[in-house]
Formats: sequence, C-alpha cells, structure tokens
Amino acid sequence: MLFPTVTFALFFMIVLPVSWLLMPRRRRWKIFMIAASYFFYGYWNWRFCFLIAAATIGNQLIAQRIFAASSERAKKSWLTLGLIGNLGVLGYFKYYDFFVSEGTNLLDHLGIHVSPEIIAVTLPVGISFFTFQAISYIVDVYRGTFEPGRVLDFAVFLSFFPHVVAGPIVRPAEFMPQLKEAHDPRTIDASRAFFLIFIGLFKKVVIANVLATEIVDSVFASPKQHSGLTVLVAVYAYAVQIYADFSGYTDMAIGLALLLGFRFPQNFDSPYTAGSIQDFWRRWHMTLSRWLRDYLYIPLGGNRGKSFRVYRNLMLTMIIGGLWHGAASTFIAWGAIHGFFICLDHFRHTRRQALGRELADTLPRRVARRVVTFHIVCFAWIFFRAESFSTAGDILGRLVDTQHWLDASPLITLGVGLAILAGIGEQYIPRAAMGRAMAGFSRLAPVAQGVVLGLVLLLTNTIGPSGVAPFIYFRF
Amino acid sequence: MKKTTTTTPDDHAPRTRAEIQEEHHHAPERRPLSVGHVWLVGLVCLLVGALLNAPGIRKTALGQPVGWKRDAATALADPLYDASHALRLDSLREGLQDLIGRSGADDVDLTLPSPTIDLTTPSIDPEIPTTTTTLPPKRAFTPATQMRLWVGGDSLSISPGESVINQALATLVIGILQSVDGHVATGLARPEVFNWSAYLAAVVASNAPDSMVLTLGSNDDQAMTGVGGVGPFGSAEWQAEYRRRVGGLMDEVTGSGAVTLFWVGIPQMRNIERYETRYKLINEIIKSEAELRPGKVFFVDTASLLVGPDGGYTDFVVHGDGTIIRLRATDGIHFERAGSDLVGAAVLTRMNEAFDLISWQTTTTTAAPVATTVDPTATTVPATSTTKPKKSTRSG
Repeated sequence: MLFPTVTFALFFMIVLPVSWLLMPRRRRWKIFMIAASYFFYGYWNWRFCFLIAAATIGNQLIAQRIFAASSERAKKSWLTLGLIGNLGVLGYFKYYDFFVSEGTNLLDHLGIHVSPEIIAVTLPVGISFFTFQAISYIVDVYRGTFEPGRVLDFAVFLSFFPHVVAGPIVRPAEFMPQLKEAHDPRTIDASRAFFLIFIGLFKKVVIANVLATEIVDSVFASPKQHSGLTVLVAVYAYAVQIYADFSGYTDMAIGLALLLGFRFPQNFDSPYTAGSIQDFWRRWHMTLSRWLRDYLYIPLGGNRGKSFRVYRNLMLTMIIGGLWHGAASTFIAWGAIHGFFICLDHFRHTRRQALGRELADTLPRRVARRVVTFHIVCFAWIFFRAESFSTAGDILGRLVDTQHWLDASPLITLGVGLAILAGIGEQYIPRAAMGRAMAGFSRLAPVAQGVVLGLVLLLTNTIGPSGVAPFIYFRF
Repeated sequence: MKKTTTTTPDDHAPRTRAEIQEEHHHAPERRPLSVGHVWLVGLVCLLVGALLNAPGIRKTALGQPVGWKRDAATALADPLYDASHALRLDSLREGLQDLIGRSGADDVDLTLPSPTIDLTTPSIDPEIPTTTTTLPPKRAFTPATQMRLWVGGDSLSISPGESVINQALATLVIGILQSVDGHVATGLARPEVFNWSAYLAAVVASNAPDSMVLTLGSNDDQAMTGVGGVGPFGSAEWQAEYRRRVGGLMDEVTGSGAVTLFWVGIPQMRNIERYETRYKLINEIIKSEAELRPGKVFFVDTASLLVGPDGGYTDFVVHGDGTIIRLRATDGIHFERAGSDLVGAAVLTRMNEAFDLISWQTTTTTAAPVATTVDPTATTVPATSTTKPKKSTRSG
C-alpha cells in the first residue's frame, strides 16, 4: 500500500479513530496496531508477513537470551547468532544473486569454472529497514543500554506501518518507551503533522515524479542522445528527485505517526545546504547515518587510533552504507566517493586544527563550500542512479564533451526548472516562517483546515504525472 | 493562550537543528486538535479533494480492471463527477490543466478505428512455390538524411525502448524524435485508460516519423471496453474485436505510406501458464495482422529471443565464457538492461531488413534494385548489419 493513494487514505481514516479508541487498553491497541501494520505490509505480498513475524520472534528470543545470559561469552554468542541470522536473511534476499553472479564471473576470469544455482529472489519491501531496526534492538540489549521489552511491544516497534517500508530507522529506545506513555487524544500536534504529510505528498507526487518522468529517466537511459547541458540539468534534477522522493516519504511517515500519537526522529535537515560532505551526512538520511555510526563505525574503532585506521573505518563504513542501498557495484562506488570526501574533510580539519589555522566563516566561503559540496554530492549521485559504470561513464563523458554542449533540448522545460528550484528552495525556507505558517494554519477552524488541504490535493493531483511511481527507497 | 503540547514526550527522539532553531526563534504556538477534529479535517479534505479532482477520479475509476471493483468505483465516481460538474467545481482542475498544457487530460475517448486495408486480398499460400521478382530498392538513410524514429508503448516498451534508442543512435542514420514514450498499464483493450489510436494519430501528424517502434499487448489479456467492447478474454468475439483494433491501429499509423511500424511482441514470462494461455494468443493476432501488411508493419518476435536452453522463460543467461547475465527484472515480466539490449538488437535487425541503413558507409553510388525472393515474413539478417547482435540466450 502506497501512502499517496486513495486506498491508504481510506485505511488511515479507519485506523486513526480505532487506534485512539483502543489506546487506553494497551494490549488491545497493540494487537490492533500489529494487525493493521501487517495488513498494510501484506498488501504488497502477504507471504512476506511471515518474514517479518519470524524476524520479530527470532530477535525477541535472542534479545531475551542475551539479557538473561550470565557470562559475557554467552551474551556474545547469542548476539553473534542474532547478527548472523539477521544479516543472513538480508543477504539472501538482497545480495544472493549479486554475489553469486559477480563471484562466478570473477572466478571465471581466474580460470575457475563453477555453475552455481541461480534463482531469482524477490526482494521483500523494506527488508533493509526492519532488519537494521532489529539489529539495533539486540545490540542495544547486548550493550546494556536497553532492556528487552515484551514481545507485543517489539512486534509493534518492528512492524509499525508508518516506518516499516522505508524508515526512518527508529531505535528501540526512541519508540518502545512511547508505548508505555499516556497519550492524550485531545492534544494532537495536528498542524505540524498535516504540514509534514502534505508537503511530503507534494514533494513526492509533484516534484519527484515530474523530474523523473520529464527528464531524469530519459537522460540516464540514453545519455549519449542528449547534450551536455541537458545531462547536467538531469543530474541536478536527479539530486532533487531523490531528495524529494525520500524526504517526502519520511515527512509523510513522521506526520502519520504524529497523528497516531508517536514521535519519530527527523530524517532530513536541508541536506543541500551542507557546507561539507561530513555536514551532508549529518543532514541526509540522518537515521541511517547515526545507525552506521553507532553500530558499524564505532565498533570498527571509530576515530580512535592512528590516522590510517580512522580513514579505513570511514571508508569501510561508507562503502558498506553504499552496499546497503543495493546489490550493485555502482552503489559501492557511490559509498566510496562519499567515503573519500569525508576522509578529505577529516584530513583538512585535523590539519587545520594542528596548525591552529581555522578559516573564518565568511559569507563567500559559506556559499562556495555549499556549492562545492552540492556538486560533489551530484557527482556521486551519477553512480547511484546509473544502471552501470558504462552509463555513468557516458554521463560524465557528455558533461565534459564540449561539442554541442549548449544544444537546446525539449527536456529542459519550465516545469523541470521550477521543480528543481522548488526542491532546492524548500531547504532554504526559514524555519521561523514555517513555524508561523503552521501556527496560523492551526488557528483555522477544522473545516477550513480541511478545505485548505483539499485544495492542496487538487494541486498535487492535477500537476503530478498520472499514476503513482514507487518510492525510490522502497527497493532498499 | 493555551500552551501547545504534543502527545508524546520529547525526550525520546533526538531533536534536529531545525527543531531547535524553531524553538530558539520562539515560533508561535500551535493549537493542538482532538482526534475527533483531526478526523473531521481528514474527512473534509478528502471530500473537497474528491469534488475538485472528480474528472480525474472518474477516469481512474474507469481504468480499474473490469469487475466488481470497477463497477463500485464508477458507481461512486459518476455521481461525484455529476455533483462537481453541476457546482462547476471541476472548472478549477480544468483551468489548472490548461495552465500547465494538459488540456483534455481527463477526456475519455472510447472509439478505436477499424482496418482500412482490403482484407479480401489473397494472402500468400506457403504451398505455392515462391517466385523471384524485383523489389524496389530499400529506402536508404544517411547521416545527412536521417530516419525519424519514435519509440513507445506500454511499460514493456520503456527499458527495451531505451536500448533501441541507444543502438539506433549508434547507426548514425537514425534520429530520435523523443525519449521513450511509455504509458504504463495501457493497451488496446481499455481505450478509456489510454486511447493509443488517437494518441498515435496525433504523434504521426505532429512529428512525421519515418518509423515507429511500438510495444503493446501485455495489458490486453482482459475483457475489452469502449466501442465494440466485448468479453471474456479469448472468446471468438473477443478475438475478432481485438483483431479489428490491432489492424485498425496498424492502418491508422501506416495508412499514409510514410510510416513503417515495428510492433514488438510479448516475451515469455515467469508465469508460464499466463504466457501460454493468454499472451501467446495476443502475439499470434498481432503477428498475423502484421503479416497482412508486408513492408508496412514488421512483427518483432521476443518470445523466442529471451529463453533458456530449454526454450522456455529464463531470468539469467550463462554465456559461453561462463559469465552470468540477468535478463529479466525480479517481477518475471519486465527487463534488465541485458534483456532490453537483446530486444533492441532484434528491433534493429528488423529495421535493417526494412531499410538500407549501411550503404552510406561503403559507397556513394545509388543502391541497385534488390533481387530477392518474395517472402513477407522472411527474417534474414543482413550480412553487414550495423548492429552487433548479442549472444543468444540459447547459447548458454
């Protein structure tokens, strides 16, 4: 079930009042919410409900064993088992075909011929997200920072429909205590929730879909067909498309959770205003960044030890982060590019600190840093979006090929320009202005609020291309 | 003023700098709502949104698969549309569509033309020995006088269409009119969803293509709607009507004699039963209609193209050198790039049969008339094709 559909609107209009009615009876509420979430998830493929159920039971058992274990060794053994189980399932569904085919091809180059069984594995929607959440649960229990909850609580945490398919990646300590809190049905922060939902809807249905259908898909499919200028605009367009698509989804997820009485962490914080790649990762997919930091980078050693180890840890973290997005060498390249520039940022920062030469934060420097960072991010997006290195090479080739560089293209339209401007401009809207708009909206009568939101639906439905394209991050 | 409170404690979720900034800027307080009011806002929003978008909703309802869901959807959408129209609320949407250049996007055109060729012309009997005759020379294209190519169709056209474009560009004699003109979930069975006949007539009139590569049929295994609509799928009446629509579309496109149509057939699918019982029939109808229009319409067979060693569906192909390539998407229907490239190569092979795309490379003299055997279904690959056919999946 996709958020921007009539089916989901009807589903949510039923779930919302029933959820609040059952809220005082915790056990019934949890059973209802699990049922609603499984219905939502099973709408794609009901068979995968068994997968999420198995992940719930398996990880709950592991967490309890870790918690009850008397020795550190026993705890570690249970944790290892849990990690192998989670990563094994993720690896099977997400990477089996990739590793088998790439491995076979590599062995073949070495003169070793093998004929492994190739099977087309169907990827369950959102498996990367709920697997990471399950891992954080057992690791937190192992570290002693979180005690295992009841199985129903964990089941709600893992399957909660606003975040089950594309995040944000919520920590157990952020969500599960909320299940014990009193929720007041008279004081819902509705204006914030509605703003998040409808801005997210507009970003996804209008900005992301317009850019995808009008320029990005065509140019990335056949870059040689287009002039350098068109390819450059398409790269900018993709940067905006993926931001609008993913942040639009998580905005909606956060807003929907808020209406149900739950608070999720933010996932995006104006990433294209970042002044460095390190800063970019503090603003882009923030819940994944901190997951990688806490469950991968720090266990690898973090920034302790010699410089070489720090750079190795940074590179490994970013490459694994790239691989998390998908089973393709282009994703690894994307992660490696980010890793390289984070290392460079780190090197420059530590060197300046050592020399005591911190640069003053002037406006021209700030603008230059933002422009450079945005273009590094765009450069990396080329590998993220391209089907292969060959396509990425064609795109880069077009960008530097001066012949016919400025040729006009029917793909560069006013709509594309406005969508790019809107996607970037949205990140520069002063927070205070947004706060005032939300406060003003909240003072309208409920019927008037409904009419205003109905007009937004008109805009979204009319301007957006027909049909609802799947969210980019569903496949991750 | 009543203090704003949220329903959940703030100390569990980390605050972003945006939220902290918001608090530092002393953002005006927001008035919270009760769940009843939230529900009311949602209800009013959906009602207003439905009334304002009624023409689009009606079109979406009509586009549902034939059955009780469509009946229920249209039963709700029709009165909604009537109410919206009576209150002139639909004019807002119309005005917006005019503004963004999408006038008439909600219009529903249910007519599809009939064939215009004389179907009483005796077809070629394979029992009668063929005779050698002289055909007019194939139309030649050069980098200076490029072929104008349009590529489009349903969702199966998108990825292979991109491969067609890439391979066509490599010939240097084919110019692309636009990127792949794909319209997901469309076909000839449901003109209310998308009327391909009217659309292609407009494309031909406005773009004057020399060739069109069209992929349609994979969404047509259902009862047909529109003028002449009939069901169930596969019945004699259904076959006759589908044949009429296919032939009508072919004549619509090629009737002027200026356009050559390459119709890409449906590939085998992981759901073998569905292919055998449904898509095979559609392929046969399209192929036979193409054969009735030799030189004007070429059928590109993909069912025998993307197959494993057993001649059936395959996700992967193992090349002779041992490399494993994925041909099909995980849904068992669409294509990965390697599979698309194979389809693209097959299309280019057919184009080389229809046109002279290569003589400009070797000679400046005018091509002499070609002596050949009359066989409108011949699929011989020219010896000097400009495209390098990929390895067949049978090779693995």
